[in-house]
Amino acid sequence: MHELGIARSLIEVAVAAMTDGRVTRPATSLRVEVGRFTSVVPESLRFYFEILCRDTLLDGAELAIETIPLRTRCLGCLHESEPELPSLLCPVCDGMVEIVSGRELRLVSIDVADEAA
Amino acid sequence: MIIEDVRNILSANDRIAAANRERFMRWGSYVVNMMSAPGAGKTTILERTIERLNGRCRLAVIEGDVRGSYDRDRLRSVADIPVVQINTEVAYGGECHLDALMIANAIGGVELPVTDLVFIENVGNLVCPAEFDVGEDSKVMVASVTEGEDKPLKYPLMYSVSDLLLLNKMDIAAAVGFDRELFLRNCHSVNPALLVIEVSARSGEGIPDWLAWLDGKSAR
Repeated sequence: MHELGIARSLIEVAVAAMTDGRVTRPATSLRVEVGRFTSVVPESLRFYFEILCRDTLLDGAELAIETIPLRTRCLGCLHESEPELPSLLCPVCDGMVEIVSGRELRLVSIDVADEAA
Repeated sequence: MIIEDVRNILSANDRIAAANRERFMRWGSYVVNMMSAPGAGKTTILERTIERLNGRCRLAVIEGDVRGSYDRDRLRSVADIPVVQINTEVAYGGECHLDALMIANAIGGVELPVTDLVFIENVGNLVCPAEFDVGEDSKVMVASVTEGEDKPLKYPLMYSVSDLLLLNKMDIAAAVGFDRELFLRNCHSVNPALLVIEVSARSGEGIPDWLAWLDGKSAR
């Protein structure tokens, strides 16, 4: 349900990136990274995005969502792994880990229609 | 044409959260974001906390609910302290969590002189609140023994972002067949650093330990 707020933020961030780049042509697609260890459901994000982007430069743009795996590094033995949720302990030594990736929620790039199009 | 411009989607929220944090710091406040499933006992724990701390330090509460002001009324009947109610149904599309903007709007009109402790009671939900920084110093979650031992495994994000877990309703743990060892093992498999304080808001058991934890934090 909070994908509503995240979709709204995504649109704000994307429109700001286009405005900063002085782009006034509509976007055709957005590349977005969503970490595996977030509570975001990609389908739900897509649903709200399609509704909320009407009347913006993003209207009709495809949302390409890449899921980033959860990767951890053991603070003790430095072993890196892609643990199956939910356990976040090191599979080798059972030690505490830090999260290397999997918490991403970011816009990576925007495809914009060509001038002639 | 491709615009390559990597931006954090929650950057706007995080900017507002940083401004909230700055504001709270000017008030001299330690801010606790309290999160749990509905019915775990956040409000009852706050009642016990306010009863014991009011007069000893200056308190304020920001209440987050989808609708209604039941919790604010309960807390206001305990002590005459500032309690600001946020209803997400009114201006925020009925959101199931609090975000930094809601907190900024809630404290926008309030100029507190000095407040030692601010409690933010989040919307009861084990999923969405975990994702949003609101400008707090600590995230404290409440779990109750009636929820079952498997909840850390089902909601790992919430358990992994929390600094402290108040394990509530310990007075009825035996009656509901709560397996404490299994629950703690599950907690620590998703968050090995999670500190757990066992409490009963009803009997008062463990509440002094929670107050001591708060004391250590807010006396920084």
